[in-house]
Parts: sequence; structure tokens; C-alpha cells
Amino acid sequence: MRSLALNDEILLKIDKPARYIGGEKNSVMKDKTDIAVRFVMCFPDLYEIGMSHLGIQILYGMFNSYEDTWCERVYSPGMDLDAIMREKHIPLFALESQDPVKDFDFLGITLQYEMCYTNILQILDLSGIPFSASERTWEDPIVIGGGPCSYNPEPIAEFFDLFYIGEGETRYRELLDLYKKDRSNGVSREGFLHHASLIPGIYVPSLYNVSYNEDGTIASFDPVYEDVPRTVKKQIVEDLSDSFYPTKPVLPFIKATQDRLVLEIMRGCIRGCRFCQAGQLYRPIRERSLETLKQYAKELIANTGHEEICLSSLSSSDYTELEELLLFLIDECEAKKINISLPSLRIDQFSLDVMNKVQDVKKSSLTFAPEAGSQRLRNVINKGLTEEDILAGAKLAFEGGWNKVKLYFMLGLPTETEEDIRGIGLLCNEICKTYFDTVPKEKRNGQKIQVTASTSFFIPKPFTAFQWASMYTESDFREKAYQTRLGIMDTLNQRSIKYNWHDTDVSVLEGVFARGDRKISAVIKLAYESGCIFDAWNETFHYDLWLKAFEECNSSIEFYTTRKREDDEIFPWDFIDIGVSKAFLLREWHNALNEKVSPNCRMQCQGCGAASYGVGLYCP
Amino acid sequence: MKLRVRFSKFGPIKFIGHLDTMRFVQKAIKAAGIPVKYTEGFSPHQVLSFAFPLGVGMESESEYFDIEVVSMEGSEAFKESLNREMCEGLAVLDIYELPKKAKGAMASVSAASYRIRFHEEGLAGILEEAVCKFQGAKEVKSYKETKTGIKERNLKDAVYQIESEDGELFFMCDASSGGNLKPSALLEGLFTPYGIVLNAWDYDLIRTEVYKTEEENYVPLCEGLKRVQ
Ligand code: SF4
Repeated sequence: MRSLALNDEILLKIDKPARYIGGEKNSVMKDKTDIAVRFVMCFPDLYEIGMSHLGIQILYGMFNSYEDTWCERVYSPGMDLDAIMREKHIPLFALESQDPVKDFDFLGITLQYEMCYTNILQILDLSGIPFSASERTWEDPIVIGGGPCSYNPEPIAEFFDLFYIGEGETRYRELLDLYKKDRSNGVSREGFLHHASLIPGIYVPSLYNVSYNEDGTIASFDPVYEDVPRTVKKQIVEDLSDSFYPTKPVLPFIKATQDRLVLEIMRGCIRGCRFCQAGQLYRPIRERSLETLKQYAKELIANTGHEEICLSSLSSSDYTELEELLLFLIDECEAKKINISLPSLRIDQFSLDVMNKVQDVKKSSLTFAPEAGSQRLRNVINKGLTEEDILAGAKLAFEGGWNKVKLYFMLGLPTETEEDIRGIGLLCNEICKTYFDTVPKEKRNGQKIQVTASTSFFIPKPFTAFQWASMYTESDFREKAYQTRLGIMDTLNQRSIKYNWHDTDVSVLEGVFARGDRKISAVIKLAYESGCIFDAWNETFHYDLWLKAFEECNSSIEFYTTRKREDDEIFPWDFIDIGVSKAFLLREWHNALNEKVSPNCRMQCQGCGAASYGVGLYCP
Repeated sequence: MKLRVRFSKFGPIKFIGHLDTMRFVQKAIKAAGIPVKYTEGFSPHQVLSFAFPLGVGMESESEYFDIEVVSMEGSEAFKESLNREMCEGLAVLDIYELPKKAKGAMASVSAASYRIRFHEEGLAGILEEAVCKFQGAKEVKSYKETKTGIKERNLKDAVYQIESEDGELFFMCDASSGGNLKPSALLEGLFTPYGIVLNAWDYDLIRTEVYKTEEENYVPLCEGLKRVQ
């Protein structure tokens, strides 16, 4: 039996000791004497969050399918254990072997959201690895970042030896082989990083120099050596039906935040919503074949005994064989007593029939994401969902017995006016009206219509048409949320409408990190040192400490958020080539300002550039 | 058809609480393809009940749960298939058939036995003396704070058997739903006179068996049941 890094006293005193002991079913143990490369994969947040993430399960399974590699996991220790580890000088350890992270060859950190940046420093700190890549030696693991936030890695570039840009299934084998070769040849760490930078998709921040204009924008971004590529090209899986899939996922003992099996049906999205980063990052659209998915579903169920399964993609309704897939799953899951949790599907007769079969209508709710309150603004953001669509879908659903509706909106979108904001209340009101018109009093059985409107604040992201857009300030956001509430209260059916909104401060900070440059890393370091950590969690988020850190670093939040960006500005992330061209995005930005809608990939190709991969389902 | 499953739990998994262990076992049963019976409705769950929750930090040589199956087809391989789906530290030891009229596992439990290994070797001498004293005493009082005030109990009524050997403590005590004695309460009773306070991490606590009462005797929960492989 394995021995643990933490003793019984510590494990019995802390919250959820199960987070730190490993040994879960399907976790992989290997004999380390047979292993050439030890990789530890980190999700820099609590275990329950990290264990819900499909990407790590993919890489974990893939690495462990290599005979010469052992991949383990590590998550952010909770605040209680964090304090104990510092006090007792216990180094951060990997779950499987319980060996110190510092002893590994690679530390891979997945970057799923910007608000985890201070947690990266906690991981390095507790592991005893220097923050700055330039201060590391072969005594330290190679620290590698990946995931959505690595598409603008600059704010955290200093902390990483390299970034992997793209889908992990494709280039890791090459990187590991290079590592083995260079280590056995006694190559220096710098030498290895230089070699690695020649692998497509690998970005080594230390091999690029950035110079700035007087106004703080970027003047140039150049490789240090001639052979280091000027742009780093996103790597993608060409055939999803023929790539590694984790059909034996690690099964956490304690409930993960998303405690279910995940069937990833496709990557990419045909819809060109102009605020959406994922929709651009994962282009072009690629589907997994129906047969492959059926096979995976069966294996997943057999290998785990899980009681719930869900589909994952950016827009499941667009999967070409969705109907067949769902009918198969309903059959399979009914026989095996497994719950299907449905992704948010476009509401039509088919999806309502499916929902009716797998959920309790009385308890479940309909979800719409109009994102903006008026048709004008929905045209600006290119969200092809009209009021008629929503009301027709709602009517169908009300006839089917539903009476709960959830609506998601964004506040602070480019060109937004007071009228657009008022549109949120009006739309909610129309939905209530539709209910009262559709369901006669005697059929309501004492039920009431419940509409919940939620707003988040719009954050401009790299590689979207809105990467040029200005963001609003905290007080603007608060005012907008207030206006939304007033707008809802002004409607006839306001008693049936509930309104929720997101925190403003955290959105502003996320806005800074999303479009930040290398100068931000000093702020992140200072904020961490002054006590910022777990910023994604309300109870540990200290905006005042962040403001102080910005001030002390002489860094202006407004430079990153509210500043107007010119069409020809060089962005910190411009050196990354995601296939979608900057020219296309700029065209879309102007279309947005002109309230002009663009058709989706299936209707008509917009020539975004992702066709260059030669594998897109609808690409010419 | 009802089955009673006997299993053991050792090692790091002792930090997994009762409910999480139960959730894990449910998944293992499903993955093993055992034709377990489910409840009706939108989120069906297995008809399964554990005999006696095992606290966080405790290991066990002998635990039980009951399940209901819709068919006994392939039952000779149940144990093997279930063990294939277990994790490090959990092992199915035996599976028994439960007669239709038999009491459920939870309702049957009347006593449990434990073994305690102390980390501090110097404790052996005191332990021997304390156990001797306990055996000879008429009354050993224990106090428990409850919502309604401090409750007094004579440990002699709750402890059915006690001995020590090589610095380890063995005992059997009340585990009924109304009178369950926590091992820590007995340790308090034994060591408080010596001014020794023990924390949960100062010893290894292993449950060795769970008992039911049959004709005024305490017998293991599986006693008298027909083993299905
Ligand atoms: S090239 Fe055309 S079809 Fe392909 S992703 Fe871009 S817009 Fe869509």
C-alpha cells in the first residue's frame, strides 16, 4: 500500500482529506524505476474543480498510455492545508506517488480561467520552484502551460518555461522524446528550451523580446534567435474519431463539481458570436463520428459504473447526428439506469421530447442565452437568436408542461444603450405573457411561471472580433445592473421575474488579465505576495489588495480595460496563429459596429482562415 | 433476492467517509454488472444498505452491506467481478445469500469489536494496568456532552469483552442504534485516570467484526448465512 505525504494528524484535521490521498479508481500507478519521464499535471484550483475537467483526463490517459512516461496529478491545496504546509515545510506532492512536485521532469499547468493566476504561484511556491523561469535549473521541472488562457500567455509568461498552444493530443510525444534525447546528451536547460521552440505549437517566452511604444502599446515582438519561429501555430487534432479518448477516467471519491461522465462530441463551433473566444479558438469545426461516440459511451459506463453522463461541446444542437446519438443514449441509459444530463439544446419539438424523457418536467427549466436584450444588439454580437425564436420555443415548452425559464444576458457589450438594457426586462415580460396566453388558468394546477434572468459583464477576449472593444469600469457595470433591475421592475409581470448578476470587481480584473501583456506579471507576483490567492472564490477575493498591487507597480487598469484600441495596434497575442486571421476578426469588428450580421459556417463560409487546417467540416 | 456482502477497508482509503465509500461501492456494483435492483423514478438508485458506518480514519477487517438483485445468474462470479471494480484498500471478502425474512444489515447490528494499536510504545505498561483495573471495576463512568446536557454512562455495561496484548487493545462493545459506544469514549475511560489524553491520530483504530444477536449470543453478521462463493 502507498504511504502518504501527509501524516494522520494533518489528514484528520483538514477539510476533505480525500483531496490529497490519491488512490482513486482508474488512477495510474507505475514503477518509477521503469520510467524515463515523470510528468505531473496540475489544475490550479481545488481538487473538486480540477477533477471535473475533461482536458486533464485526456492528457493523463494519453501520457500514461506511453510506456516510458508516468503522469500524475496535483491540485491547489485548500487554505487550511496551505497554512500547515508552510508552517511545517512540507513540499507540494503529486497524488499518485505522493512524491514532491520538484522531483518531476515536467509540471504541466492547465489554464482554464484567468482568475487562477495567483494559484499558479502558490503551486510553484509550495513546490519550491522559483517563480521566474529564468531562475530555474535542471533541479526544477520544466513548467509548461496549456489550455484556453495560453492563447494570451503574456501576463504569466515569466512564470513558465514553455506553453503548448493548441490541442494536447498532437505534439507532446515529440516534446517528450526531445527531452529524453537532450537530457541523455547533457544538453543545458536553455539548449533544451531552444530545441523545444522549434516544435510546432511550442512557445518559449524567454526566446522572444518585446519592446514598447511610449504609450505602453507593443512596438515589436521578435524572436531572440533566427531559427525561432516568428509565429506559433495552434496545433489541432485532425481526426477526432482517431484521437486518444479517456474512456477510463479517474473516479474521484468525493463529489466533483461536475460529477458525471463526459462525452465530447465535437470541437469548434459554426456560430460566429463575436464575443465568444472558444468559438474562434477551436475552429475549424470537427465532429466525432456517431459510431465512435456510441463505443465511448459504452466503455465509459462499463469502466466507471457512473450514474450520470453528459454531452460536451460548444453547441450540441449543431452536431449533425444529434438525434441518433440522443436516441441511442436514452436507450442505453434507461437499460443501465443512468441519468443523462442534457446540454443546453436549442428549444424545439425534438429537444423538448428528449427532455421530457430524461428529466422531471416539473423540476427542470428551459434555458435561453439571448445574451443581449434587443435585436439591434443581438445583431451587433452576431447572436442568431431572435425574439420570435425564443417566444415560439417557450410556447412549445409551456404547452409541454414546463414553467421555469432561465435567460442569460451580458451587460456592457459594445454599442450598448439604455434601450438595449431595458430590452432585457421587456423580453422577460413577453415570456411571462406567452405563458399566460398559452396555459389557461384551469390548466396551471397552482403552478406559476418563473423567469430567471442572469447577467454577466462582458469581457473582451483575445482572438474575438471584440478584441478591439473597450471595457467598462466597475461603476459603469454597477449602474448597468441597476438599470437592468429597474427595467425588470417596470414590467407588468415583474413578480414572476427573478434577477441575478455577477460581481463587478472580479470581471474588471479578468478583463486586465485577458488582454494583458508581460508587464502584468509583476502585479500578479506582488498581489500574491500580499496575500491574493483563490481569486475565483468570493470569500478569498481581495480587490483592495489587487488595487494596491497595481498602484505599487505603477500599472494602470484602464490601459487594459477602457482604453480605445486602434485597428492596427499590435496585440500581445498576435504572435499566435490560431488559423482565424486578424483581418477576418477586424472585418467582423467593423460588421459589428455597423450592426451587420454574418451567416454561420454551415450557411456560408466567411473565409475566416481556419480552412488552412484542411479538416473543417464546412470549410471549403 | 437479497445478498449480504462482507468487505474490508484498509490504508489511505480510511480517509474516505462513509457516504463517499457508499457512493463508490454503488459505482463498483454497477461497473461489475451485478443485476442489482433499482428504485423507480427519474433518478433511480440501487437498493443497498450499509450495516454500520465506518468513521473517517478507521480501518476495518469486516464490514457489511446488503443489496437486492433481480437475478442470481452468474452469482458464482459476483465476488470476482466486484473485486475487479474495487480500488486500492477495498476488498470484497465473501458474499452470502440473505433469506427473505431476515432482518436488514442495519437493523441487525448489536455489537462491534475493535483493535487499537498505539503509536506511543511507552503506553504498553499503562494499558495493561488500565485494562486490568477496568476488568476488576464494578463501574467505570463516562461522560458525554449532548444537546440536553452531560450524559453519564457506565462503560462496564457497554463493553462486553476487553483485553490487551503486546501493547494492543482488543474489545467488543455495544453498537446498537440506541447505545453505540464510540471507541474514543472507552479510551477516555481507560486513560483519563492516568492524565493521558489521546487524539485520533495517536493510534490506529481497526474494526475487526460487526455482530448481531442470536439467541442472546453475539455472532458475526454473516453467521448462519449461506455463502454464494
Ligand atoms: S473557413 Fe469558413 S467554414 Fe471554415 S471555420 Fe472559417 S468561416 Fe467557418
